[in-house]
Amino acid sequence: MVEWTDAERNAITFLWEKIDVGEIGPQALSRLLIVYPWTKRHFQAFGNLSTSAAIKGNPKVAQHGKTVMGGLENAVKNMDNIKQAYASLSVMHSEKLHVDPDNFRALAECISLCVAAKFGPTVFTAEAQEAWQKFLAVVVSALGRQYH
Amino acid sequence: MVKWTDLERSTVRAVWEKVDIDEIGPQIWARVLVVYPWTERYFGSFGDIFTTTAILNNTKVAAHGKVVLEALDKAVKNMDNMKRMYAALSLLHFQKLEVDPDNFRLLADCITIAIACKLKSALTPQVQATWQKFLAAVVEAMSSQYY
Repeated sequence: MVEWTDAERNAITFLWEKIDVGEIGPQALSRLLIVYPWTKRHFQAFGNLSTSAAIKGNPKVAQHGKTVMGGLENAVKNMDNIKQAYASLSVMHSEKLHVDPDNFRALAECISLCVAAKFGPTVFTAEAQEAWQKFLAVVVSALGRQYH
Repeated sequence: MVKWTDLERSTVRAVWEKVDIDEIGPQIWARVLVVYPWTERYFGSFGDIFTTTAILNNTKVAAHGKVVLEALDKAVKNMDNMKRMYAALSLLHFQKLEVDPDNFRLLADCITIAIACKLKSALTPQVQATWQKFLAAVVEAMSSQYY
């Protein structure tokens, strides 16, 4: 089981309270689709994703970004049991959506970048980065857990 | 050989122009040592790097950050010839420093995060894609003499 120091718990909840999922979520998903273009294959139903401008202006991308980012709330509230909290979501991504779990890591990277860009170096310090990236790594691991 | 469009070349240069080596250099090593603590094993001669406070105040850590960014400056100026340019440095990291090349990717991530903190929304998704392509080429060049 993952061990969290008090400092890490505080850093994660502190950042989470400041994060607007409606702002960061769409940005992170847009970055994923632009920086790692093969990920577009999972979103054929979203309409026009053919250019960066189309992706950034696509309301389904924005909505889904918000949904995914909002999903992190479950992990923040269940930090000692993220694996169980995400078990059914992991099964869904594996069996229904057929998402390569490597993409979870790519999305986590994009989320971290958005958070860094939003808060700058005085808030997203080295310690904050360590806690946040550890948190996302645990989420990524939990999402990949039910794959076989 | 990596192909660069004119837009990618100008994007990398534009990002680099905004990077103050004296400001960003110290930050990148602090982030690597704090976020990936096993990297401390490579810096035995730097003195106290075993707490976050010590890392953030360590002058050798700060100086080494600048050394790395000065080397990156060479890559910005020689985007078509990185492999040859970094051959000796790659050999040094392999044979003498015995650095696991996986750590180059972690350092590249911390450089990108530090730049994101600085540039904020100017690091658009397209700029991010180009910058990460650039750093991936650097990481590959730095790994090229390993076998």
